[in-house]
Amino acid sequence: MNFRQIRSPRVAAKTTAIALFTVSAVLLAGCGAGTAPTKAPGVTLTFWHYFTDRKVVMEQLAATYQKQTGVQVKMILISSGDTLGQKFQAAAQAKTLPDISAAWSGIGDKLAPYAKQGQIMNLTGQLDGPEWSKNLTASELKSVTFAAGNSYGVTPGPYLVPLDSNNMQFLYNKKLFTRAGITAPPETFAQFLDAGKKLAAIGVAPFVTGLGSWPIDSLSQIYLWNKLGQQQLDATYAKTMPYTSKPWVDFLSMWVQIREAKVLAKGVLAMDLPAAESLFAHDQAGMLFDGSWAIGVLQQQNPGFTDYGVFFPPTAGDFPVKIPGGVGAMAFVVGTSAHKQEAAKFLKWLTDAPQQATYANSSANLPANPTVADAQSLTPNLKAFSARMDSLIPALANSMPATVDTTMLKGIQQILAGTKSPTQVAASMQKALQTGQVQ
Amino acid sequence: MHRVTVSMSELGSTHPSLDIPPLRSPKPNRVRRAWLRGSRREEQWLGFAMVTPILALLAVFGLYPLARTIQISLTDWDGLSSTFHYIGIRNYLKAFQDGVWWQSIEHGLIFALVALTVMQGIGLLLALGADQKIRGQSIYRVLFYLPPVLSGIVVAIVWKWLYQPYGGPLNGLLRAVGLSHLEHPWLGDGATALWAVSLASVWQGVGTPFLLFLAALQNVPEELCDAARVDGATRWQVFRNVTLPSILPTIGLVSVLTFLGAMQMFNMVLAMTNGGPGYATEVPVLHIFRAAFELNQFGYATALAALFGFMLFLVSLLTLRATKRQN
Repeated sequence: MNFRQIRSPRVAAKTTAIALFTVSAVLLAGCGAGTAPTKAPGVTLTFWHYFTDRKVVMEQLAATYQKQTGVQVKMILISSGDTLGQKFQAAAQAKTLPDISAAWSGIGDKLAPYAKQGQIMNLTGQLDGPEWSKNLTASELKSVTFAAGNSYGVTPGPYLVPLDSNNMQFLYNKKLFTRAGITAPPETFAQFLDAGKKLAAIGVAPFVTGLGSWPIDSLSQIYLWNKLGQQQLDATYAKTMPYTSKPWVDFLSMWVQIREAKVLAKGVLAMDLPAAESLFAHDQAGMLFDGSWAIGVLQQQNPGFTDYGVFFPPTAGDFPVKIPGGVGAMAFVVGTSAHKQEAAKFLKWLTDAPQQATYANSSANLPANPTVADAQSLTPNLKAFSARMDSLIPALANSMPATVDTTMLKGIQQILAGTKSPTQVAASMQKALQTGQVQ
Repeated sequence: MHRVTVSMSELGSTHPSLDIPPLRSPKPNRVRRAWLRGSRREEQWLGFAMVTPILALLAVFGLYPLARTIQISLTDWDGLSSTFHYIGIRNYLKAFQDGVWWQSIEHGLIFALVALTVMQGIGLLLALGADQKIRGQSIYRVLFYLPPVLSGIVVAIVWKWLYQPYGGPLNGLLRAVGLSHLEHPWLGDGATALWAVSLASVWQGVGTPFLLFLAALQNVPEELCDAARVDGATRWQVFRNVTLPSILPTIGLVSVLTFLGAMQMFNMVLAMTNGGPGYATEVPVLHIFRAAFELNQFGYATALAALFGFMLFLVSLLTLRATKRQN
């Protein structure tokens, strides 16, 4: 046996070890890296959405589209908008995005990074073109558009496609109002507090909404516009007016009045919207702050509950009351998709009148297409929602930074709980702006 | 075994200085030495080849993510953009000035304290009970271990319903027994929300220490307990002086696991209160989650995660060392 003979197996073992390590590492790394889903012959589009209540109608529409065009649209239901946002973020990092996705947020800081990266397609020349724009109102188009000079650095243009419209107002239980001796829905904040006290006196929860989750943001937006108006909001967001200024403290003091009048349901600070809707649908709450979709939800929760009405949020300030809403469900074309033009065509088809009528009738939502909304026979409550589509909160060039917004919402909860004063919350918001940290 | 002694004379030697060759192998030549060395190396390489897949797994799923986490924590990455800037340890410094972060750590410590005392205490009591020779012993074991098997979200929804101020069973029970003055919005009040979530987590988690303590109790030598009883020890003395020292290593391990579990509480808080009212139930993982997915501060979120991981590692290490020393 010579040296060469002795060394050969050693070299072989060494080579084997290196090869095994390399192959294992490459294979394992391959597990994490994403590959684009393979397409069947012909075009197949993948559409991620979270429209749990519209699952069936979305699939029906996809089947109709396939019959008409041969293009298959696979509808993938994700449990919620929040989950969809997280899934989309992960898929963007792994490069495994679908062709179309529902939007989990409106035009603003949550979608801006994707629009900037081209993962949300800029539909300039299409959505705002002569053919497609007929299916939308001017305000809808504006609300899905990143305006010129926006603070996010996104190329201006329309990015999202509205599928339906909605707005948020107050609902009231007519039977409980009569029992409490309230003759008309409140129009002013003082009347609202008074109605709340009367409802509390008959032993029901006066006012409910999901103050433990996102509706607190929508409710606060109404009164931000009502108490501060566009000019002061613009000034604040442009950083020329501090959050500690008097109008902001006045706005925050409104929540102290709500707390002191005891018009909120017990435990409302941990309540989500479905829990609030359930109380309202079962005659346990007199007033509810909710969106136009609530009509469908209440119908599902208690089909026998129909004796309720809708009223516009009572005014508490000197400026016009504006309500959140406009575009409801929205979708977008994934800009990195190999079939983005086919995806855009499908979304255009979804906004055409026949499809919009099918969609609106089966989901009790207000259609995005104005020609359908005008022609459709709506129930009185849906009409009440539909009638105030002219009072929507407009999009501003700048918005409240996310850290300040979170600080404000948490602060409102703390004011309602009695653990912080309006001045303290205003100071925290200003600090959040300066430090970029939630307070 | 008998020792055999052999004298020099028996070996046929007549002189003690007789040169008897040593009982060892002949001196290897150079070729043989090289062959042996080569064989050893070959064995080493083969061993390395065998553990390579595990090392690769560790590298890809353990070391690489850890290194990436540290790398991202030194940037201002928003979680999506293809570009980011290195900002040194600014995220770590920011964490030290983040009041909500330290408040969330405080809440985590409260959860941990409740879990270490109440949950482990109940777990130990249940284990002591189930260790007795009683009828239906196996049924108790299954029942006690049922809650940890359930999803945290499911448990949260059930407990949220129990705590409901309108139609919730807990307030209903209080009313039924004439204690309506104690009715309360348990989750909607910042003063009670943390304790209410903590109770729900104790209910869900108690099965794990129970099972581990039971396994440890069943390993305590029966002879030791019998000997103590023969010597006149009472039940408490047997427990205090025999059982408890025997299960001390398990208590140390369970304490570390309980502490880590309680500090990393997330899904129950998210589903029951979302950290509210205000920040009354904010916990570290929820704060990290919020920074990453709501505020798009991915770099900062990873810095918090790294800091939090280091804190947990340090506490676990100290606890295990203390337990070892005590043993």
